[in-house]
Amino acid sequence: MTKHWLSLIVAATVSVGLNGCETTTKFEQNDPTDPSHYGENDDSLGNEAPTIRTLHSTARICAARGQDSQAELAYSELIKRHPHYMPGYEELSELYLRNEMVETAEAVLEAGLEAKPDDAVLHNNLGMCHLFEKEYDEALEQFTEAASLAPEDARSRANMAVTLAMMGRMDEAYANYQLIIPEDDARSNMHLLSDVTGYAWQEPVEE
Amino acid sequence: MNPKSILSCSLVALLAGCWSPADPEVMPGRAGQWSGDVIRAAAINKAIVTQHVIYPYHFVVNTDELNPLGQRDLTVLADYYRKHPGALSVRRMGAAQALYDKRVAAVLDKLKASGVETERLTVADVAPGGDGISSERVVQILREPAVLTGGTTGAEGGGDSGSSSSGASAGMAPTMQ
Repeated sequence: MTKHWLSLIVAATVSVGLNGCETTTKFEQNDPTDPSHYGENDDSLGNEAPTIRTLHSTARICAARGQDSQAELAYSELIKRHPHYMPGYEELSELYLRNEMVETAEAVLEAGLEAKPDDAVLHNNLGMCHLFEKEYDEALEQFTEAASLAPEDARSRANMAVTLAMMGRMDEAYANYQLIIPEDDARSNMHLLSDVTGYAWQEPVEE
Repeated sequence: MNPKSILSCSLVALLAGCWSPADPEVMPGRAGQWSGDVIRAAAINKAIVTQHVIYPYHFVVNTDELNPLGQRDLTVLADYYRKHPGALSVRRMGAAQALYDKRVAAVLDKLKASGVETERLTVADVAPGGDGISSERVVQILREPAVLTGGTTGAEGGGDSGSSSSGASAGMAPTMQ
């Protein structure tokens, strides 16, 4: 009797547990997208929708092979199924940028930021889109936001530096470089930016 | 084996088997991105203290409101100034005098709210580390609120030395070639 009781408890626990796990992996049953369209389906059940890993890997493989249309579909599906999975937005926007579809890339990133407003990477990438479009005020706003959200990430500071230099705010640009790279490199970068932007910059005189 | 042990074992095995694909920490793409964050943040914080300068980019455009990065960097400085009062630079860089005065006041308010004894702090408009050029003026913060005067010199953003007020800008005139 005790053995039977124990079996019931274990069976019930396993059942409940598996259902609990399934809530994070179960996808919509009536999704019109055929997973096989995106390549390998790693779902052992075969008739389930692809996992997030499968979708992401498929998208990446397609993108790496230059099959941008298929990659776009895979990323779109990834975003549709997992709107809070930020790499989907990041890489889809990169795909659009690669195809010089900057406005579409911006729309993807803004959609991602609606899902997760405090995502530093998306803010940084959106800043890059604005930088490409020479919208420096908007770019600086996004890079600044990214730098505040991920202060340990030097990339946003570096992008701030470039943007500030493009705006002619050379010593603010220099100040940002000084925070993230050695002094010699900071000065070297500033000379380069000065050449590129046409804004004059002189090395500060040591006291 | 008693029933509790069996139950515990089954629960542990079950929970160990649970993996959430929605967890970004175990998903591809970002897993390695945040490694070393603490070290990098510490290095940047140290540089912020070494620099001890608040720039126009720390503020919302054309306002005296610190943006999130400004608040963040000033928090780093506040942590330092609580123990080591000294000099702080708030760069003007073409901002109107009235706006600059408000910015200085906003910075001091924030520092004071963070527990810094601002009476022991010197605020000036100078480049980090000094550049050998005398600053336009130095505001010595004493026990009374700073009384700042001056006219307007135009808006910020088009360059950092568009006005003569930025005498400490180390010759970084934004002249288009």
